[in-house]
Amino acid sequence: MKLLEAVELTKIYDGQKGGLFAKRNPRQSLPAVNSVSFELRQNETLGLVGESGCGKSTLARMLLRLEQPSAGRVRYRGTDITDWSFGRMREVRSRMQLVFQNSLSSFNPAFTVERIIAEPLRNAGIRNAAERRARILHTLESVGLGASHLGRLPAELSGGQQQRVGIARALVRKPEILILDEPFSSLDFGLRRQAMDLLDELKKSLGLSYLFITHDLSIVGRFCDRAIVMRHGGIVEELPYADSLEQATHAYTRMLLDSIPARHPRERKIDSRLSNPSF
Amino acid sequence: MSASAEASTELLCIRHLTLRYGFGPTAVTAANDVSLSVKAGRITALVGESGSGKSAIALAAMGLLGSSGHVEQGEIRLNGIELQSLPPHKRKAFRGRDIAMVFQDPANALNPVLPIGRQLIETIRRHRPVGRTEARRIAVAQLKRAGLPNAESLLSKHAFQLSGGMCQRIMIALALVSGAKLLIADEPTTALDVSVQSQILRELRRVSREEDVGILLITHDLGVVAELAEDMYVMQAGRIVEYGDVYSVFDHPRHAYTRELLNSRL
Repeated sequence: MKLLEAVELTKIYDGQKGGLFAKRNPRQSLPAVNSVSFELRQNETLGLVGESGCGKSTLARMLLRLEQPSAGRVRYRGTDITDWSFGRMREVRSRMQLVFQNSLSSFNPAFTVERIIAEPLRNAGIRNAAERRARILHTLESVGLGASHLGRLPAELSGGQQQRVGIARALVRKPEILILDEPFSSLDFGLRRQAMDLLDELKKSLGLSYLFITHDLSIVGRFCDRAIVMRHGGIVEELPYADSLEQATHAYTRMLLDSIPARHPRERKIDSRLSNPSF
Repeated sequence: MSASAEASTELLCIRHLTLRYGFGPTAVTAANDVSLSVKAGRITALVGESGSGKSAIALAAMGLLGSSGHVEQGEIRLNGIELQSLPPHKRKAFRGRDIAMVFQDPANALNPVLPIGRQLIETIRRHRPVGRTEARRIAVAQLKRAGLPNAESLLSKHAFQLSGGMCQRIMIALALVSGAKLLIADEPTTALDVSVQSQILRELRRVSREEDVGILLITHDLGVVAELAEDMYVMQAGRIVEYGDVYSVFDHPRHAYTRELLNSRL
């Protein structure tokens, strides 16, 4: 079942050399995303892999319609939502939520945890405070936090707890799809593993689907079902099974694989490539 | 430890160092009886989770602990000279000349309003009695040695015009431009993409091999350690819990915490 579908999505940012009022020169326009098509299926984790600047975040923003595509369509459960109005999008947006790389910077620092997670509920028009609190507590518990965290400020939480609050905020509207934008890169390895296990568990228990944005192929093998590798705004390779990454054929994917640090000093890759001056 | 390692010069030697932030009952111990050494031409990793005290040690070695942090006990020797007993202006002379540091976020470490060239030339002229033209020549040579393309035109660029990987390579060049033989790299690749990370790791390997620089590599990433380091110290809650050459630590971790770190990898 196709949950979310991108059909030849394109985003072109106009080149604006020479200031705000300069004439726009179409030749300077650079497509950040160039005719990208893919689908996110029910209950899968799809990895969207690429280096910074390859267009993966722009693509995710277009799927959420936070960015209007220059061309192409976005379909949600088969319905074309590309031209839906802001008001109409509200309903769909509750079904698709975003988890950010750095949760702390995505919180209002003056809000308590309760208020942070209450915001999406207030936006949804839930005015009954008791009902809100019940849902907040329920969601907090599902990410391994509890009532004792309700009154805390973001700065009073550890990095791992902040990420959990970020996930709780995304979950409180009961979405179907989570777009995870580098959710682990600000975490230490131990915490990273915990966060990954938590997301895996939530995916099963809540029937979620994930679009997982990352630059790190080593996580993809462990966390994703399928993966798409992007470069310069386009898809270079689709990996139907993320756990068989080693079979990737495209030179760019191979380069990304080669960049993953060794697991043991005996398997070092750096020394062998030291002689290569063209890095 | 092998015989050849013992033979190479010890650049940094920390003995029984205890660091505290704050005073009185609210003081926090950031490092507790820490001893470590960094030798010329070798890469020594200091591994631990965030909050374990690794960066506090780096800052203490640099003499940059700030007003609330202080050395309670122990000594820090740089090229054999005890730093704690020196007055601040003498310590300052070591910074940049003998010991240099690169940070996690290169774009923030560079001055955003000055072109790269000016920052390099300023640093060179602070430590060496050379004129502007000569300093410029040294700067270009340093950038070229770091494998940076178009070194000349880079001089007029600002940090925001360059990629993160580019900035970090410039930071390394800037750190070493005054001839420092000891480099502290505090999570040098954490903010970078994996493909860029491998470029930076290669550059660190190059300066240790070719320029005989001793590197203290601070990281939480055991992959980076496996790629780069010769020796490693594992730190937990302010203490060194394990030390050895990387092969033996990876093969036979003795401390439970080290095993936990190794197992938490994917």
